[in-house]
Amino acid sequence: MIRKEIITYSIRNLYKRKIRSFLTILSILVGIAAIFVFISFGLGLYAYINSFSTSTSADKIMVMPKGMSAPGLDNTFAITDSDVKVIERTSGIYEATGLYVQAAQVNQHTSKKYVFLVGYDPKKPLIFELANIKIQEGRALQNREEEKAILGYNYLFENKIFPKAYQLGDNIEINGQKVRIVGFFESIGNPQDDSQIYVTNNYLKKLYPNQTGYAEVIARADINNMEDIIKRVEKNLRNSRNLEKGKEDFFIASFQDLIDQYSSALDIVVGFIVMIALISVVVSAVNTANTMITSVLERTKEIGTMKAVGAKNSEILKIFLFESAFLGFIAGVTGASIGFLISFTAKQILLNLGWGFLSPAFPWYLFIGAIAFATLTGALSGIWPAWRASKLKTVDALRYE
Amino acid sequence: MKRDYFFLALGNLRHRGLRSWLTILGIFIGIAAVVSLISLGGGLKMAVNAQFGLESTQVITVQAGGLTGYGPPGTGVVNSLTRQDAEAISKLNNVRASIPRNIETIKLEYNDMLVIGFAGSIPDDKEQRNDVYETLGSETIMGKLTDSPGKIVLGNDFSIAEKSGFDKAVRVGSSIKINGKSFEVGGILKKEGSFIFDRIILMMDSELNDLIKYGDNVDIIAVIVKDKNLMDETKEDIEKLLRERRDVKPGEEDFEASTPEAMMGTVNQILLGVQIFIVLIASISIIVGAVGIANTMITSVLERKKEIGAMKAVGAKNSDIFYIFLIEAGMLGLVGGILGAAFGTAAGYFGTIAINNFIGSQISPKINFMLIFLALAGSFLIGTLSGILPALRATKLNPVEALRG
Repeated sequence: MIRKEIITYSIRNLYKRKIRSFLTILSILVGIAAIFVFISFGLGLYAYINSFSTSTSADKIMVMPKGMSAPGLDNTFAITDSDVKVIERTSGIYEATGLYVQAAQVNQHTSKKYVFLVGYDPKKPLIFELANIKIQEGRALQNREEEKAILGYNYLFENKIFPKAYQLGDNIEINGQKVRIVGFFESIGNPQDDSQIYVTNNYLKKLYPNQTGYAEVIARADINNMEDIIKRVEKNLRNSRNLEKGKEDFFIASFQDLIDQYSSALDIVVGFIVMIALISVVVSAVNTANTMITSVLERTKEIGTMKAVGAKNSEILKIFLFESAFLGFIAGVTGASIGFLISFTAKQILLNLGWGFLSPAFPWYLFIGAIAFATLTGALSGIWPAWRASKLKTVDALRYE
Repeated sequence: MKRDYFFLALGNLRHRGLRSWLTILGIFIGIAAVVSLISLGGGLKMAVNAQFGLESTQVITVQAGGLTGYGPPGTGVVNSLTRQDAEAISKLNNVRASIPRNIETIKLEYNDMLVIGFAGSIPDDKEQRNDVYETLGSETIMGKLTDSPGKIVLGNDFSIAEKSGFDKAVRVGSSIKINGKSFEVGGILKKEGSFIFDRIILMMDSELNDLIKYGDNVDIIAVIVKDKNLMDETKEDIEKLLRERRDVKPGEEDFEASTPEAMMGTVNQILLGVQIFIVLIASISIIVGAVGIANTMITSVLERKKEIGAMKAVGAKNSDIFYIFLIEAGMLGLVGGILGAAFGTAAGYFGTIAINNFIGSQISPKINFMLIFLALAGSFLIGTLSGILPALRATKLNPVEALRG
């Protein structure tokens, strides 16, 4: 055990070399703060992705045509109503509905924007269960309703998408057609989703007479049997589309699988950034080792005296190890605090920009982890200098000038 | 006199071997990280530009407005350009040819396997066809470029069994099914090192139109100009013409005419942004290294109190003391910088070769001498900057007190 005596002696020593201790702490805390910021944003992104996987999304299966572009914009392998029927008739599937996605040009006076226009079937609003989106103002669309639309959250504000904000009952010009706004969705938290416009399936077909296929089909399935059901749907679709096994022009996945794919892509990005930030921690470890080596040299005589009056090697080792670990600990506490302040400020700025999905998370284990990591870095860089100090020969050390 | 500073500084650094090396190690790691990331970024940028085949300098591309960037040209477009637009453009001054092109997703069947790919249209007209081949820089390594109906040309990947997606190499003369219809492979393109052009299928416009039925809609119009120097004027003429044809006011264009520089500009801007972000994070470690230098120098000043006192006593000026410590700090930075730049350049060089192997690009790895110079100058500067404070402390020492230790 480390005795109280050792602790007070070490801290007194660190305090005596104020500037050097301060610079050592500074060098560790810079890296710790950077890592804290990136991990807090990474954790926030995971939380954002996972917020889509809820009790209402767990039982959903998606069917999409294969292609080289975003689903819906490419009509080569159209998934049609007859395919939806095949999916719906598969045992284990409760209901299925197709979703159109198109690029639309929206005008407000002289400004013009291109956004995604989504067409859904109001009788089967599975898409809203999927992403857990709720209407904030107004109402949902009714079956076969035309020239009516629900808008994403960002249309409620001026200068977010258009100079002027929209209100319920206003008309919005989509591809030159006047469409009445009957509702607005809650914020989803990213600029693309919050600028989408939703209309009924049959109205979208009127706006785009050439539209042949659905961008995706969403199906609700028996949650206890997802894998088997996916295989069955695949087989049925293959048969009805007259395709051989291995030559599918569509792909099927549960919604959870898609979310997992996003998460693993995020793993790579966050991992890479944290790796680069870790380089600075390595450099700071070298600095700490350097400080400790100097410290041992300076105190050679002192070490000799301590040994002469009966200090054991293990006690000398503990003194120096404790010193470097303590430097790391202080750096961890200040680094985590500074990282928190940076992330928190960035969060407010991003929120105002409509990038709410980039919102950092601050779980307790992030603070503990950052402090523990910094302390460990300090301790590890102190091992060698401390070992050198403990191995000094008493007589030589006393003679040292 | 100035030379003396250097030798004094060098001697002192050598005297404190281990500590100097650890300090240098700190700066070395930081500089190596930044230099290697910048050189790798440069290689990656070239690789990406090669993917899009943006080398051709006399072509203006015209695309309709929409949610572009979600797929090949033409996807996400609201109001397509038409064949008639292309024809009207061809009548403008300084336009040698205006070629409508379509890029479509297709289904390929070969060796009883299916691959989803994309096909680009090649004009039926012989003269226009040659223009397209010329601007794309298309050359075959086997067979001929498409010149008659029923024949297609495939990207290089299809001629390699593992890359084709069919577990079997496609040969000239083979028959391949596209969206259910059989075509004869007339040629294989040379390797471009691009995941787009090495996987493309080139086929006659009329035949692709038969399969996909895009009618008069076109995805992209490639306008080849006569005089390269009149590029911007020609671009304005095209914009004016299309504004009239599509009935839109200036500033409200629902189409885009871009010069090659502009197209490269967007891609490169994104890449630059990513690179700056990553290099900034890596630079944190240089700052940490600088703190290390400051720390070492402060210790050094403390240790050499007596020495400084002696130097002052025999007539050294404050400025002499200042320069000795400043140059010592600068040397620490510079040595770290030399080692870091060497290691970083090597890492960038071999990393670029690794990128080549990984994505099949053909970027020749380059040694960026400007970068090396900047790294050396920068590391010396950082060293000196971190030495300023310790050096000032050294000059402020009172000789009498310093001598007393």
